[in-house]
Amino acid sequence: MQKNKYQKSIFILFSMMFVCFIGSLLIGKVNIFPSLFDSKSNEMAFIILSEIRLPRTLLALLVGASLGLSGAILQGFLRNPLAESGIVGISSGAALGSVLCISLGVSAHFSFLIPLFGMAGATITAGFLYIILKKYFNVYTVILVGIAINSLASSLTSVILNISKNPYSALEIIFWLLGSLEGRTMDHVILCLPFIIVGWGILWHTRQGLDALSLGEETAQSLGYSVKNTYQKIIVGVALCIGASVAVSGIIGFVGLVVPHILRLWVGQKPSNLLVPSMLGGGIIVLSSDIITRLPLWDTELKLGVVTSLIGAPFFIHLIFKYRKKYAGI
Amino acid sequence: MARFLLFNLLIISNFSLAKIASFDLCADQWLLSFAEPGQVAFLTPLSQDPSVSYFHSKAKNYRIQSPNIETLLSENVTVVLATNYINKSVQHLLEKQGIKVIVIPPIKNLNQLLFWANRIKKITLSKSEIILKLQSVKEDTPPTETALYIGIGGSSPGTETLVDQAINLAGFRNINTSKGWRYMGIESIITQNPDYIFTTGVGTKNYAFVNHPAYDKLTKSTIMPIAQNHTVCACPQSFVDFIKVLKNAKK
Amino acid sequence: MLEFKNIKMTFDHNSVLENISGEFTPGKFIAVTGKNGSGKTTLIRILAGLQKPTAGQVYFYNKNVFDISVKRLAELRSYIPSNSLCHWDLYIEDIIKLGLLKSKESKAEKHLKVHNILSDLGLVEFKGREINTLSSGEKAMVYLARALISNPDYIFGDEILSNLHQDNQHKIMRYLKALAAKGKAVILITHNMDMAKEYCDSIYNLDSGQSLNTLHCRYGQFGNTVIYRK
Repeated sequence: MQKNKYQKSIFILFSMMFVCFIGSLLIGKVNIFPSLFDSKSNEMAFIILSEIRLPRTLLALLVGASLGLSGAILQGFLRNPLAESGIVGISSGAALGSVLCISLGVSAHFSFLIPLFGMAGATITAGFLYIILKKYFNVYTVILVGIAINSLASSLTSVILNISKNPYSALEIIFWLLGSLEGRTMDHVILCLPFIIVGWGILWHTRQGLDALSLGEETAQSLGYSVKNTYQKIIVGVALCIGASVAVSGIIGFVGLVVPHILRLWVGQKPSNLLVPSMLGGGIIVLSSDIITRLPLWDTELKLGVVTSLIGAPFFIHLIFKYRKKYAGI
Repeated sequence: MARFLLFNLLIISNFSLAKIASFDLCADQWLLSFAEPGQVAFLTPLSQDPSVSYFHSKAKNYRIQSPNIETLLSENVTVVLATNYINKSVQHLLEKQGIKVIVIPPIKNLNQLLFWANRIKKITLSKSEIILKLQSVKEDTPPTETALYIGIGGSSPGTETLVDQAINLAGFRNINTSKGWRYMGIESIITQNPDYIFTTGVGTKNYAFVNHPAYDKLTKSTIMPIAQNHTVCACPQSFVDFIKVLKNAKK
Repeated sequence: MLEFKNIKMTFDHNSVLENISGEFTPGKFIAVTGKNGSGKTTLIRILAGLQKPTAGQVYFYNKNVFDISVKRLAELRSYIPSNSLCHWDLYIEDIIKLGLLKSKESKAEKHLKVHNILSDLGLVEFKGREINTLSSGEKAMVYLARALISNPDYIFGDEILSNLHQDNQHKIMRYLKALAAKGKAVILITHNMDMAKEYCDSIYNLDSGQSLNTLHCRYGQFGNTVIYRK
């Protein structure tokens, strides 16, 4: 009975993702329908599809799936429905790296420097976290250190913004921080794909540990799952997939928090059952938000991170009120 | 009549003795166009930043100071030149202290630019011939080629912008026909396929933006980076030079 | 056989356990009692291999507990902490299956085992229900089922009777006694002396009254630890 429900939810989510995927290829500032079947201009339509829309569609899926997965993993690990990848400070670390790159002005000569700096930022943050937690490990320390690192990295980002002499580089930093997939190319996909896949692999390995942790740390330990070991895997996995995601897209908020929540109501609360649905759900939300930014309705480019939060926050409030009794019990 | 002349003279001489301070980057550009270093109390630090200040090298001959109320008062400044970025309450405070604040509004066309050039020239008693140059700027040929300018933040100028007028005066037809600045996006740009794409310089995000592989495959646009300091502020000299750069691109 | 020698544990210079030795043999139902803070939980955590003692060794079948692989150890013993709870509202089958996480059995085998343990404990009617829909006594039975499904030789329970109705306490104790009779070793921390006397083979008292250092014998000595024997 539960098995069917799980498979059914995966099937539905996958279909939704597929619809979004097709929608994302077909919707944009330019209507390519007429030229798609016109032999004279279908080259242009094809290039718009393959060079502009396909890369950002793939990136939206990769980034969304990473955010959803890390959110589900961290909520499962901390057994706290408020957790998301932001709580471990890695996304802020990645953002700090990229912002540093923009402010140094080196990004212009080699556009891949921004994601590379972002990944470096994520690596340094994760390394720092890893060393601290290797020495002093318990779950509260994990949360507190994560929050502290998160705010340290954000305040350093603010410092860079603050001391940037030139208002236009400050503007560029702010726009970057809002998150966007505009103008990304297949090279960006190739750049982040290996890190994201390896990150997913490592995170996937923690699923049994997360299930064991539902019965508390002691039981998990007695079942042969070390909490510390699980967390070390989580740090490495999140650093890889979130570091690479933030590095190419900027900060995209609320997805990691909201997606596992919504899906928990649907596929049940078992942490390992939430992982694949959360990946699909994250992909769906980021991709559909990206489609919204591209609708020919607005004159400016809406930023992706703005749209996800704008949709996510009210929805989240709705969920909290609808299920407040259930949450109070957790 | 004589009285009126005398009065005018008084004001003018008053200004010539005046210590004028700049309140922001664009006011810097106006002072750098018309005022001698001796007339200027100080310019803002951004005036020396080559990425945004058109007269950045000239600015090295002037005193630099962060513009805030305290420095303005302590330096015995009598006139503050600002563009409309100035905070209204700051303006009132300065005026209360007897400091004259001249606020230049956003300039949307050549006529407004000429009007303000004349005014600042009068205030500074400048002998600059830039106004003659401005007056001589004429549309040379009816536009045959299309162009798009991509400015800071990825936005492009449309009608009722000074940059749009520069593009027209240089003999191009701007493909952005909407009013004001607007974000075009890669897809609209490559489908409209302008003959020329002018972007802010190599050192900015836009340059990477127009290097998207889709451009190479689809457009035959000539992509020309132009230092963004041409268009950050409306000022006569950078306007004239910007048109010149655009015209040169045709060759 | 579970042997422990000269177990010593200090937390921040406070000595909790000092030179505790003994052995538990399969087929026995053992109660561990003592006042709050006497180190009961610490002791059985050490015995279950969940915590490294400051000094001393624990051997399962002559092998040091820390040299046994986690997988093997998970098969060898299970541990039910005090105040067992489930952070998520899981189906009870899923909870019980957690006891088999390290096992490589097929899904069908696991499913069958879950069914068997549920019927053993008389919990079949709860199949398909979520844990939060059960009463605390029923939950305790589910957590016990989770610990038993891997069929371990040693079962450690930390105050699993607390907050339960008398009937449920008796039900659990009867079941544990039957398990011991089948050759398992059951080690249970409890405050409930009456229950311990009624069902257990021996009672160990780790009393902190006068000193934390030794195991006191109240009803006579067996070896140097056992204080009560039916």
